[in-house]
Amino acid sequence: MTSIVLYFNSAITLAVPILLVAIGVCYSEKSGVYAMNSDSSMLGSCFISVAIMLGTGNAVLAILGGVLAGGIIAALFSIFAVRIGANQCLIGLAFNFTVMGLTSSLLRLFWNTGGIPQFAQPGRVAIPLLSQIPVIGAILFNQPVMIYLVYIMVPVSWWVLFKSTWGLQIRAVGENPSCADSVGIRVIRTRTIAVIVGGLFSGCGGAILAVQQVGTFTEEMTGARAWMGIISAYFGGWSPIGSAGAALVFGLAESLEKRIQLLPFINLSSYVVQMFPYIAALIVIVLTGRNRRHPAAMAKYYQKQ
Amino acid sequence: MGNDYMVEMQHITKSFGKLIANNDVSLKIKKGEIHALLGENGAGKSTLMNVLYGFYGKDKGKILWDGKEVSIKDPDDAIKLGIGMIHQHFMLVKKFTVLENVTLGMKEGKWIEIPTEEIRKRIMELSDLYGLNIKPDARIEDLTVGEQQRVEIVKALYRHSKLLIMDEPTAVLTPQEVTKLFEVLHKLRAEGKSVLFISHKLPEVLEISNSISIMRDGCMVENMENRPDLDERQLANAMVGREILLDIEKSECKPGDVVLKLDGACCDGVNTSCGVTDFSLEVRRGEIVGLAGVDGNGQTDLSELIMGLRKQTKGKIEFLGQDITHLTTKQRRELSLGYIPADRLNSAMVGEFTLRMNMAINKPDKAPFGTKWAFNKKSAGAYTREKMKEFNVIAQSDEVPAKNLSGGNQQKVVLAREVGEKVDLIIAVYPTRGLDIDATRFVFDTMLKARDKGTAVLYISNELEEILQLSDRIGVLYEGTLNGIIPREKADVTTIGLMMAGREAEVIDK
Repeated sequence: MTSIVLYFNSAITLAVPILLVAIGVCYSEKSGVYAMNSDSSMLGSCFISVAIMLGTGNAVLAILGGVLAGGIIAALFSIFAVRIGANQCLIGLAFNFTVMGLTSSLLRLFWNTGGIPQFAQPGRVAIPLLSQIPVIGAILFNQPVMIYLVYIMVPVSWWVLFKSTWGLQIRAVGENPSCADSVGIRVIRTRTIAVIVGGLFSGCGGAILAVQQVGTFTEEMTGARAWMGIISAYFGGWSPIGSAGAALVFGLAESLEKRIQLLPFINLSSYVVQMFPYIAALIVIVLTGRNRRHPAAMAKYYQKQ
Repeated sequence: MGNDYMVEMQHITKSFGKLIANNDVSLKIKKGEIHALLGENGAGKSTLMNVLYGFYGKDKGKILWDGKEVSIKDPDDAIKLGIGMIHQHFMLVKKFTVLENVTLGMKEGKWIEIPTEEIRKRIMELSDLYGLNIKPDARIEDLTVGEQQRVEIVKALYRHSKLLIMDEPTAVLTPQEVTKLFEVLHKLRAEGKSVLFISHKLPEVLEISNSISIMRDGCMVENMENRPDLDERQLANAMVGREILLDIEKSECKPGDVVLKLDGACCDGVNTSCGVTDFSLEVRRGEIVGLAGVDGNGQTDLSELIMGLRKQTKGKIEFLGQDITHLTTKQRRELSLGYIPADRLNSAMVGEFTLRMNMAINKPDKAPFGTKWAFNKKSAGAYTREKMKEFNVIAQSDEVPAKNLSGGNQQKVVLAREVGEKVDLIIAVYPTRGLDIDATRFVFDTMLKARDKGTAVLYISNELEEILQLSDRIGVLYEGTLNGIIPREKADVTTIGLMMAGREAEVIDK
């Protein structure tokens, strides 16, 4: 029983970085900008938040710094992707590689080859009353503080995208920018802001990954999490709630990977086991790849005549 | 106060590179009038409207709004003044509901949450006041074209527009919908709104407008009041700049062998289309069979079924006695037939390709376009230029992209490709959609010439006038079935209109 609870509990913890990226992707792609750049914001944030953590020892400050770093990287991306109209896919990849190289170089520059020292991660906080609910309480309400914030982010983002005026504008710009323009919505500005908000979320995902889960910075530490976030958004039909469900599937797969490695009687190569989340991604894509209707103007550059 | 004019555009000049789209154009629109702006495609009407609406900046001239000079730098400025624009291609987000589309871009009250109830109430009020008949929670993609247009009107009214610019509003409507639109326009005028009605259809301009302005080649050539003694011929001559004939001369129909025979053919619809059910029809040499019908009653489905673009679920199709039911589209293409699809830039041509490539696109491996191994630029170009001359295509060369041409010239290229050589069958779907008088006339002539040479023509259109003018027999498409077919002599607007609405016709013909 307890091992099942632990399994789900850790699945949620592991799903959170992916989930945050997925929400960011929803903002960006709903506005019609392909969020190929997510990994750059996530990885950049990992690095900055770890640097702040080591400098100040303050986890809140570290995470805020990471979020901001993610937003700034996305803002730079938006100049190319939204304003100049570079190919969103290629420029996104270019950003990812640049940040990958930059963080690796800085890592060597400041900490040589010894690597960054490990720091203590913030602990779990059980919510009174709620955590007393059998099974569910132990799974959902015995988590680090940041994760409770994420619980709130999902419905809030859903509301923003689907119920607020601003969300309506984001969706309009992503569906039919010339129509949006004709009713007086500033297309470039709306897209730029949506991309930056996307970057803030990806940054948050990176910061929580580094500060909360890993407790240090290693090269390319995001792995494929940003990509899983992109897939989750797609799988969830660009709705924050759907994306959260999809991210949870990846969390479950990652959690399974970690559990299996601990079992003494299963003799599987760790490399095979580490493939689980990726296999899960593949299955998700194959099962749902058809008939996903993406925002009509996604990846399409819009320019005023 | 005391100013009669809602808007005055004075000496507007606007050029794109070397092309002068508007040359010293002036236009005045009174308060509470329907003002028609006439002109052929490319005369500069759209440019002028886009200047007024702030999509384009102007090179010279000024705009007065209610007597005061204003500067309109983007659509936002225009909207704030009270100008509403209804584009020919509707500016609606298809996946959104009516309510969401109306909400978009509203500035009054910076809400955080959309006040859905308030907006819904207001839409209902406007809908009732102007007889628009709109459901706020319907999704745009589920609405008919006429309904979508009324959503555009509500959108403009919701923002307190005083001047509505309508760019060719009737081009996409059925006769019934046009009547309905005109009722709405009359109500708008009665409420003191001004309407600028852009069109190249003469009868409706005479019917609806109070005053008429005519543009030609970027200049304003006529500004006049609508008088009872004005007739279509006068307007047409001013518009084209020379004497043109409006009536069609048609020789007697001498039907020959059956060319196309459908026997109980069926196919499923795609997306929202209704498909084709149990469709039987014969088209003979030397006759034009017109198929009328309200948009979305299987017009595209039927033509695509005949061309093998749809999976046929039942029935048989014969071409000159040969069963072609199981032939692929490529094999059908090799028969002697020409196909003019409904959607010019999506199905008929590749907009980014040159005219030469577009001419070659369905047989690039055959002379004169090339061989099995290579495309022959030279002979393809020569052939294209020859056909362009023959079909009167106006373009700089055979190397310009098709999308740069006007609709009329694009259609002429399609005609040159499909019926440039003699064919046994022509299938034409909405061939005059969005075309001006000259180009429409050209399409008619091409069809009639082919018919007289013994070609069987299946002419599918939602313009009842056209069907009545051209056809030798008239059938009506209703929900994917043939709702009766009658000879031209027995057809009139009322009978066909009733059949289009699904009423059973008395069986007059087989």
